[in-house]
Amino acid sequence: MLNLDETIENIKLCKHIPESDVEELCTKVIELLIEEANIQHVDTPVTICGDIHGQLHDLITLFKTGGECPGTQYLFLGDFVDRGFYSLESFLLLMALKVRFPDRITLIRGNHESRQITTVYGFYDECVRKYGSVNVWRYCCEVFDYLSLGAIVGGKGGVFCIHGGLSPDIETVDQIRILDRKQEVPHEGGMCDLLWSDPEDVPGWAISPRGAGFLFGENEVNTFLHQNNISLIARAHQLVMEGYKEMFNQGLVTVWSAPNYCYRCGNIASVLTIDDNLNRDYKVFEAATQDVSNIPSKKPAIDYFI
Amino acid sequence: MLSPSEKQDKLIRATDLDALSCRYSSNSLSYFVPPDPFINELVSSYQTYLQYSTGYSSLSAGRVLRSVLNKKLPLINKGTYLRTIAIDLVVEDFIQEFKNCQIISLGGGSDTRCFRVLNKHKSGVVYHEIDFPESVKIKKLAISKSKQLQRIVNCSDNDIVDVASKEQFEKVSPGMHSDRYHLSAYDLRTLSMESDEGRALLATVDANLPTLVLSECVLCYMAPDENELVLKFWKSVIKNLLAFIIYEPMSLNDAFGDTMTRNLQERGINLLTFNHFPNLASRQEFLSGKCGLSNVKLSDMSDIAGYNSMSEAPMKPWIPAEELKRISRLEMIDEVEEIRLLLEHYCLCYGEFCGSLQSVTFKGIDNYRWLIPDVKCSDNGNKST
Repeated sequence: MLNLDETIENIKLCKHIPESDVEELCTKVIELLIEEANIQHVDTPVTICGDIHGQLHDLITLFKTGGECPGTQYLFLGDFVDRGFYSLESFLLLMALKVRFPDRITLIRGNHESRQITTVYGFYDECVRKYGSVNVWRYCCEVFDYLSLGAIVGGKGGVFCIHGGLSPDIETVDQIRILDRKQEVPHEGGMCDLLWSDPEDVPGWAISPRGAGFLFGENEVNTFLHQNNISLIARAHQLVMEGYKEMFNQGLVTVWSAPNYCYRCGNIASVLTIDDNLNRDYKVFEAATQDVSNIPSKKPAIDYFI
Repeated sequence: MLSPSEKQDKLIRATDLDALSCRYSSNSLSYFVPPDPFINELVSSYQTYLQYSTGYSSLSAGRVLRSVLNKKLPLINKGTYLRTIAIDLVVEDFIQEFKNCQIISLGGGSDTRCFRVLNKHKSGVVYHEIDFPESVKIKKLAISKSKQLQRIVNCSDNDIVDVASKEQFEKVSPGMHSDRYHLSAYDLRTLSMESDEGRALLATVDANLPTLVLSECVLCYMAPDENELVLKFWKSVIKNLLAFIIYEPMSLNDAFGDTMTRNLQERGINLLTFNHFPNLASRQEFLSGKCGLSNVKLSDMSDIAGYNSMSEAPMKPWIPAEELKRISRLEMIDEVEEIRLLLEHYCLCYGEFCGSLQSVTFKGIDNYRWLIPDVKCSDNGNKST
């Protein structure tokens, strides 16, 4: 039987978690997620976090910065895995906290919570390296399919939270509520766009250089805010060197929570707290350690063109 | 045991294997069209002979090869494609414009551009490659093992039977010469016309041909004054147009640059121009002000890749939109900000010396969009608008 508190401590220490414990954790998380709506309602105050990307030590710093869970309520905007060297531990920690304190942490899906993307960007390889089989990756991918697509913080006039952004196929939050989300992230369509799109200074909609989702401009944001009676779109998905970036007359914010992304980018990270009056408070933090001693001994070199 | 400076050189030589592994990865994912048929022969030469080269054992060579020939991230594949194509374009335009010319690749190591160029241009072009003896031997052995490569470079070296020990590797003479290809071992940092090796090298070079010198992540391992010496050495040799194309990283004095310095230092690699010439402006000042190159043009790879193309550019883009679309579909690129950031830290610089012959400037270089375009060579009456 899983001892959650002990498991949480072991994950934080990067200890090996038995495969059977991972399976049990994933099963329990799915039981919780299956009850959640496509767009979860989240009460204030809550601290919103952007991409984590397997940077476990920075995730631990994040909790020190924003306050430990359950004392602080958290909403994570996806991209827990890939790129960093501790994708599995990062995702296990978030799942363990979810099972331990289900009402104090909300996890929504990012574009990296996908079978296809994780085989390219590291999570698959990490699981196979750490367990010698694909089982753990499969369990986690099943969890991915149950993650909510977004959240509304603070009800009417509140904050719409999503990993990527808007979709030309979706005008109202209600249209998201009726999507069938329990599937691999599709290559196109509303669900794909919500996880892949980016805001940009463009008129209307434009092709995204990512090859999925769209670029959307200020008008699209204003229309969506007005139509859905919300005051802010909080999203992640894009590296911001300063940790966060407000756009479009403060109608949209990008929150980025992976400091020194990929141990290469030199950026700082942030979390955004929304209080009961829907005021915004950003807290920034830096990478857990500036040297690479935290990277496992069989560290892959940080790639450059040399 | 290797001395500290030998160790440093070994690490610099190993960067060639790193670059080869990137090209191997990009090529295997169909970034290059047509595919590069020569990369595999270089990879297999490394796999066979690295163990015999200075500072390696069979175990350490195996370890290095395994760690390097791994799957690369999409942004590395794409960046490798971009640097290769950008320099290919300049080389091809140079050949088209001058017909009879020579290309001199500094520290090219296992680069396969020489084979692609010589395979395409059966006459007119002479290709020189200069690198450390260990790297030259690995390339020479790759050529000597392949009928195809021998045919392309028009040399056959029958003195190599096979190499199966450190002693045999040691005995391989580091060089290979034909009427169209010269592979020479030389430490670029000590280039001088006074030494025997220097004179031997110069005997292979035709001082009267229009010449394009390539430095792809090579001059960055040399100190600024060594950079200047290298440029001036070639200036003293070539009597015709002497053009340089330089690709290398720059720090931009920002957090990414600081992190890169630290990460590479972890691997024992020091980039000597990285912080010294941190941006395009300082490089322009160095190349035109300090070294006296004319027609200096500079850009960064982010612009070349079309990431700054939001505004309408007056010049032809380096890579057509259709082609950019094709490569962006090869892999799911979910690293747009990151790749832009990475590519911004790599410059492509062009400059030329108009030699004492009635040499003309390289007009083709104006076909491309440069972030910093310069005025033309002022002493040859060949100004362009």
